[in-house]
Amino acid sequence: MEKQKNTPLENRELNAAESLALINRMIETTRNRMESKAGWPFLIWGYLTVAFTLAFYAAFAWTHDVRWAWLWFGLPLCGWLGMTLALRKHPAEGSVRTIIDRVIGQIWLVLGIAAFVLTCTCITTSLRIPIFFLIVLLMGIGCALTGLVCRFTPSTVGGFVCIALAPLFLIVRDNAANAALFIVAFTAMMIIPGHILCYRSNRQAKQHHV
Amino acid sequence: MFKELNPLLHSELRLAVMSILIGVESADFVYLREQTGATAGNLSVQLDKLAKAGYIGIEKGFRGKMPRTVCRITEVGRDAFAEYVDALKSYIK
Repeated sequence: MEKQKNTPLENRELNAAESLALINRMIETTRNRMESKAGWPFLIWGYLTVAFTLAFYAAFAWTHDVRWAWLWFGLPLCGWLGMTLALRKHPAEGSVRTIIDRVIGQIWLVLGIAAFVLTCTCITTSLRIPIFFLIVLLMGIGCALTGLVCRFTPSTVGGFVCIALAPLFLIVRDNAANAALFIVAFTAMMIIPGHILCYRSNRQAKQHHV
Repeated sequence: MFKELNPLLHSELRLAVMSILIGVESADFVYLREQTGATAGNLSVQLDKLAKAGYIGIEKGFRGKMPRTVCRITEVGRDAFAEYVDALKSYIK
């Protein structure tokens, strides 16, 4: 069966070979589907984290007041708002949810909760928690898993780069160096893969329209 | 010996819908229409037939103010699809 993708399907009966070809084509189309905004969550969280890191360190360097750490609570709020607004679908746009979507969602839910609990503990108590080490390690694990599950190499590489970078936060004590390292980590695991993903999905969308 | 093909699945549009749903958790009506190129009316009738046979579940809700229909394959649907593919193999051999 050599029907083009957009040829309307009807109610006619098929022969065995046509049926198998149709099954194969429908499964492949859905499997190769790439959301038009697939790279946006990476970019939203990546750029927001860089912005909050710069804001926190600038404020801390200027005032030497640790209470600026409360600023970090704005990050999940802005991230949630950004995700809600940016990924809102038009009612006329079709949507599909795969098992991989659910797995990725659950991975980030668990890691997000863990990161939030660690941040709360670090800011609201006097416990000395190596927060940057733990956050970069957790987020690195999340990106590596995402990349492996989705077979998206830039995210896998970025994740493992962060896992490798994380112990440096236990060694480096300088605030500016920590901030720079934190920005490098989020650039490697979120900003670069996010731009690559956006480029790929735009290219696929263009090919689809040709 | 040829196995009997399930007449409910042996139709182009219904088979396409089942083939999409077998690989995903859920897909909405708009997505199914985009992928199959079927008219809304025809797709709606075929989805209803699949739902009545217990092969798919249909949830009606809203996205914003617009109605949204989400379809999922059921266990009965998975079994029927697997049997259908097995039967097809007997024709190909």
